[in-house]
Amino acid sequence: MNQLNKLSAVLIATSIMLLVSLFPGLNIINLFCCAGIIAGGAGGTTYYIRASRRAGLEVGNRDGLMIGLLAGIISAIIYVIASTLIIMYSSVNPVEMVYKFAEDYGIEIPPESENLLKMVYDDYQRQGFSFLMIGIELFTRIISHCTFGAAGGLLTVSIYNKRMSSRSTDV
Amino acid sequence: MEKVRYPKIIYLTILLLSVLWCGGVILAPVLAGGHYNYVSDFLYSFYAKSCHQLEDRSLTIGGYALGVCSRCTAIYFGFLMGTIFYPFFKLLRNTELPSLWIIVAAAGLVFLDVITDVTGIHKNTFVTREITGAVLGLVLPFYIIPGTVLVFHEYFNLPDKSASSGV
Repeated sequence: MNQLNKLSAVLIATSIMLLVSLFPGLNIINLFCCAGIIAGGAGGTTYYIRASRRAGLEVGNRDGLMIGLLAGIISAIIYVIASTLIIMYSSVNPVEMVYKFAEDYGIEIPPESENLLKMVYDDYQRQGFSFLMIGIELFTRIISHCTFGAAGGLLTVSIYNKRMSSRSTDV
Repeated sequence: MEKVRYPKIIYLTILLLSVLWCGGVILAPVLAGGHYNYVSDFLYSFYAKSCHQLEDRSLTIGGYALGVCSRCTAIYFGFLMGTIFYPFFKLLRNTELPSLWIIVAAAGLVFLDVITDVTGIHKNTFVTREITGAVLGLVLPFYIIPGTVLVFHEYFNLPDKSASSGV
């Protein structure tokens, strides 16, 4: 089966995912089951479907899945790099914000977490970033972006093909 | 025979992943405050990527909120239930999607519940959040599982002759 290059579609999906994840205010969208990430996968796949239609090519479910997955991985990596740089240049220790948040809401931090937070706090004070936090952030972001991005891409192609097949049977 | 095997593997993989996902939601509060608190912290941090985790909008176990809010909990557990019951309604090798109106209506209910709450027309409750979330979660496997089976058909160039609803 002939296929179009997916690079543009992946870049569009990645851009949407990053826009929604990085910008304050917009990132609220992701608090509803990563809706921004699903929208990214769906957006990139919609672009790919339209381009394929213009070229007279078919689009398979694997295309949507692949676009969502690739965009999920790329956006997770760029997100972690960007957020780490923002923290480094803003010279704010994020652990201080955690303590402030806990204090404001009357949350008691257990001793086990306290030790971990102390370690991370020292890392941020010493070098401006924490390898532990980067690792955790990268791992969790890759899983969530890939899961929801792939779901967005897959559902978009499935729904598109379903609509096309029901239209063709109507005719 | 080959063709019959991997719809089953795909189904079991999706089932396993959703058991793990839902297990993490429950494990986060269960492990909180004990020796494995760092695991709980990690789980809360993991689910924080996709949920606001507001305590007043979350169910609790032993005084600790679940890993995600009540709506997300309903969606994820609804998805797990839908996946468990899927083989009773459809053949595992099925690649036909149900009517699109079903997913549109399910997503529309969630959207309506959110919008009426945000605009102040009707404050949503635990019950409305859970019912609307569970309905969306229940219908999603009926789109995700056939879609994923079709991906494998495409990758291995299997002719798609198996598109039967099996209802």
